[in-house]
Amino acid sequence: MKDLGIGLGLRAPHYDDIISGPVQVDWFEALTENYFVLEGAGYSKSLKNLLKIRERFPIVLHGVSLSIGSVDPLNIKYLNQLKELVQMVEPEWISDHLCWTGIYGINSHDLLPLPYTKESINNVVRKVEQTQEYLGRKILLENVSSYINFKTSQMKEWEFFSEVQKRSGCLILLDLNNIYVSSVNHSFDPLEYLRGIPEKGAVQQIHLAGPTDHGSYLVDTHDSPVLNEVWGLYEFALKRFGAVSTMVEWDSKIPSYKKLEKEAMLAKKLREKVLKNAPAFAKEFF
Amino acid sequence: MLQHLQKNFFEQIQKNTKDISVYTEGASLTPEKGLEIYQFAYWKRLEEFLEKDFPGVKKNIGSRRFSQLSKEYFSAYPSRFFNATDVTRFFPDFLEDKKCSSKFSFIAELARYEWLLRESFYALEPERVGLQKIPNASERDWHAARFLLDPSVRLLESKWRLDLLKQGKQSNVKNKSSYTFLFYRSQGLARVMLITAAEANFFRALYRRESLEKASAFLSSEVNADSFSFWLHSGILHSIIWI
Repeated sequence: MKDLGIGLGLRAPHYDDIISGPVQVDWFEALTENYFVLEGAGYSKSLKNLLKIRERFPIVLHGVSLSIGSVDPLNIKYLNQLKELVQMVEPEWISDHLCWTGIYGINSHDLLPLPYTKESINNVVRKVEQTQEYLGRKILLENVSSYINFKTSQMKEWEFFSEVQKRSGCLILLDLNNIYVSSVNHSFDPLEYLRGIPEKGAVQQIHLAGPTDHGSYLVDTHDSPVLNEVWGLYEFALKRFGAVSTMVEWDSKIPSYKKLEKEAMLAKKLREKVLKNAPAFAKEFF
Repeated sequence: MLQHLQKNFFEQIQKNTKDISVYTEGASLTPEKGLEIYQFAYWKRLEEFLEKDFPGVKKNIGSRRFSQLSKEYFSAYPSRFFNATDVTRFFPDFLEDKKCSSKFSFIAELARYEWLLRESFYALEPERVGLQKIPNASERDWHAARFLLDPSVRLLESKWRLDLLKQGKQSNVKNKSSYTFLFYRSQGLARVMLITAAEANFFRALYRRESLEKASAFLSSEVNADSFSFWLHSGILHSIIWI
């Protein structure tokens, strides 16, 4: 597993800070669709900025519209644009979400939850295989936060995720905030989730973010600092999965670059502390 | 089974209906509330896309009406795009078909104005060619010269001062004369300027690849060398082909 260290989600208000200023993080994650070259359009300002940043830092691409869990066939137009962008940016890896975003060609622009069934696994695995074959590389899938559970589900989310990973050969992007949000909303133990994820070689990246607290439930909004509970999960994840590339996402009420970087530095400190104190064999005990 | 579930779930989101029999009861989050979160997020996100591209429309009609229009628009034109930047492209057509009340009869044209700004911003940016020959061009060369407009250039005619309406300045609106707006991108920003009907004809002639001499015939004496120089330096007159 390639370890990129600590990164940040690349957001438009921070382009100038990153291009011109001193930067403490090691890498950036760019939202794939924001950099697609539109039909009949030129290279956007965003894409030009991304290519500039690419000269100095490793970049990974993170998509939201692959809709890998939808019963719709894969959108070849989408895959073509993704392939074109990948050739331009040469990212370290590419990722999307273990979810569906629409049906019958209509896009909700939201990350919708899947029922955890064998039929759903078969559908996702087939489409991951097609995507990986088309792109000629492995992709990462990220767990999403959810607000409903389907009665038809036959297994736990982490069992579903692990099975998809095992059968398709994809890699895992573990979003610890999403795990925590769903654990509160659906009353499960987030540590049980982490223990259910394959320990060796599958987890390539970790996401950290902050949700909005609505009292009895949480919503994944990426508009606040990482919660203490999520830092706790991060510590556990580091001990279990070792040195995994980690980044902080912030999508709404975006703070200054400096403030965002401070949040990333908290992750860096914790990561260094845990990895320093945990010899390689220690993770066997978790 | 999966297809039925996804179809059913998506319909509930779009139509704001609730068939909770297919969801398990959660300890902290009821299926009703869970579904509401998805429904709220769906409409909110789409409205945000629309607001980003048509802030002037919202400023004029107000948040409540804009929200209602957003729901009507996305019910008629649900997103078939994977890219958020495309989902609002039919909004001007939608407003034109809708025929808004006389108080807001300008709104479809204002939406078109805002859309053209966006189109201009995202237009192709090819290298400029043929300009280096200008200082040494002979009269014969000029006869053969064909100016190419920048791909970001757009023209829009309206009886409304859409530039003022975009800023929410309704009191300045006059609808007796016709205005022509020229959209172009310069230094990475989409810009608009008011031009005369004669200037608009000049640009249309260049667009048809007519010679400078023929196109200039539209301009009579009202356009001086400064205007021409500005069009050239701003990149509106993008390149020259010397036939």
